[in-house]
Amino acid sequence: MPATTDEPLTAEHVFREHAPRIYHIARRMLNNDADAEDVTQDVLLQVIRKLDTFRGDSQLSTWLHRVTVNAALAFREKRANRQKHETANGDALEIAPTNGSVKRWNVEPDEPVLEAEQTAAIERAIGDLPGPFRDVYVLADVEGMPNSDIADMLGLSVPAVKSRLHRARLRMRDSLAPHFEGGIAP
Amino acid sequence: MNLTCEDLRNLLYEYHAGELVVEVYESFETHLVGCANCLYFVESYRHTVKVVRSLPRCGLPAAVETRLRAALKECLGE
Repeated sequence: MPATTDEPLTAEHVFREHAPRIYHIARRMLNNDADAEDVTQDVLLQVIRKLDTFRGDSQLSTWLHRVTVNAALAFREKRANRQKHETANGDALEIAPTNGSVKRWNVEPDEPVLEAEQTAAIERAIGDLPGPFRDVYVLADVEGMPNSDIADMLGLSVPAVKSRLHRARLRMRDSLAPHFEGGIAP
Repeated sequence: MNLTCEDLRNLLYEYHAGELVVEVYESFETHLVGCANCLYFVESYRHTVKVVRSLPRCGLPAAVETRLRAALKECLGE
């Protein structure tokens, strides 16, 4: 249960309530589980050491998003310096073609409930987005953050966020549409 | 105003966000009535946004939680 503004924040509360979201934002932005773990540890250490400066959970939550995004971007830059050849090919990544092994989706358009393999297909498609598009996409469509907050966090204009989000959505649509079945066809 | 199929794809973000001005919105809708390809494209775009937003909120993998707790304990000198 989230702490109220009157309740002092504890390290255990921060870990329990926020570590999963920190980890999954970092994992999707970095497309790497081990790197996400390092970022999560770094962010948790930062927040736990400053716990007494927060007035409540909502203030902490906003701050955590920003710190997580900054830590993930810094981590990616560090990784890029280590592995320049991999980054140079980042934008050339192609979304894996459907090979028939993925069962066609049959989800209700109004209330989609995703099965494990559908979730895995979405995660793969997110992971295949080039980094700058993936950042915006993860924060907007997965985390549901407002464009203005994303622009602020990533140092972009709101129109630039919208443009990247649109292009990322088109690429996600191209990747996932072959799996849609029935309901959405005209 | 007549919109081409390419125009529609370029305007999809604004259409989905409800940000098109009335005149453009009406032209968009008119095009959709007569273009099955664009109708499918728009619906699959909308559906993509919806299914991704329905991704389950996952906890930490057990092994990650164990390692993180141990690392924090060590770093914080507990």
